[in-house]
Amino acid sequence: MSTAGATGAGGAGGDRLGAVFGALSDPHRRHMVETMLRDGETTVPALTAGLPITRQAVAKHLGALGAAGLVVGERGPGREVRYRLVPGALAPAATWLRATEAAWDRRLHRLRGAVER
Amino acid sequence: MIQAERGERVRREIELDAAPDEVWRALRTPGEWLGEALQDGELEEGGTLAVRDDDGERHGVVEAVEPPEHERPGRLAWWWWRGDEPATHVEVLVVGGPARTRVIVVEARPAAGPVMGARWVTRLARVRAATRLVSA
Repeated sequence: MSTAGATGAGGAGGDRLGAVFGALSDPHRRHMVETMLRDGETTVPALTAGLPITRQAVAKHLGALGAAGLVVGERGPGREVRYRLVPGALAPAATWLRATEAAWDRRLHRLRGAVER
Repeated sequence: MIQAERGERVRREIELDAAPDEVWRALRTPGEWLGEALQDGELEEGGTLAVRDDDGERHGVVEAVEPPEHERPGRLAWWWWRGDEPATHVEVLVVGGPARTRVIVVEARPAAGPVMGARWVTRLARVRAATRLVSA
């Protein structure tokens, strides 16, 4: 098994989450992640068919997703590399989003209590 | 399923049955809504912020305090962090209407990158906060 692109997501802890969000900040990369969520495995040609960008650009984006620890590539029986999401890699990002949304709901509820009296 | 449209930012909005000035006063007073205030006073541009909530203490530096004026929405912005976590950026907009006031909050996590990683931003914000405390 080979990772899709460079390793090293910028260290442990919080930067790790920053790397995930950085990787997800591009709409083409988000589309690719959603494709893998839907289809499981995919390939560069399959991804290129669904996007208005070149094969080279798709490969570069896969490299960025790999560097963030989101995607791994594995050479199949043929010569084609098949890419898939790393299980659980998206969970910390989802957890941060949910916790942050809940915290703002709490704060805005308090704000309402403070001004609507 | 990944909430792609939210990306690395969270956006929340509320409509309040109160005048913009009144909402603005409450927003500038951390103890009114952000949690238990760990320091006195209102949010001031270039000042610091310290609150304690159910999920821990947050410290930060205030970037912008622009009160609502005529047609212009009010705007608060700050960087803050909890413990060793990277800093996040918060922007609060106050939009006045004929009877009600809309408050929009966006909290964003900067992406780690070769140029400006989240850890670097946190370090910068901490240095700014420390400098501020020393010179105060």
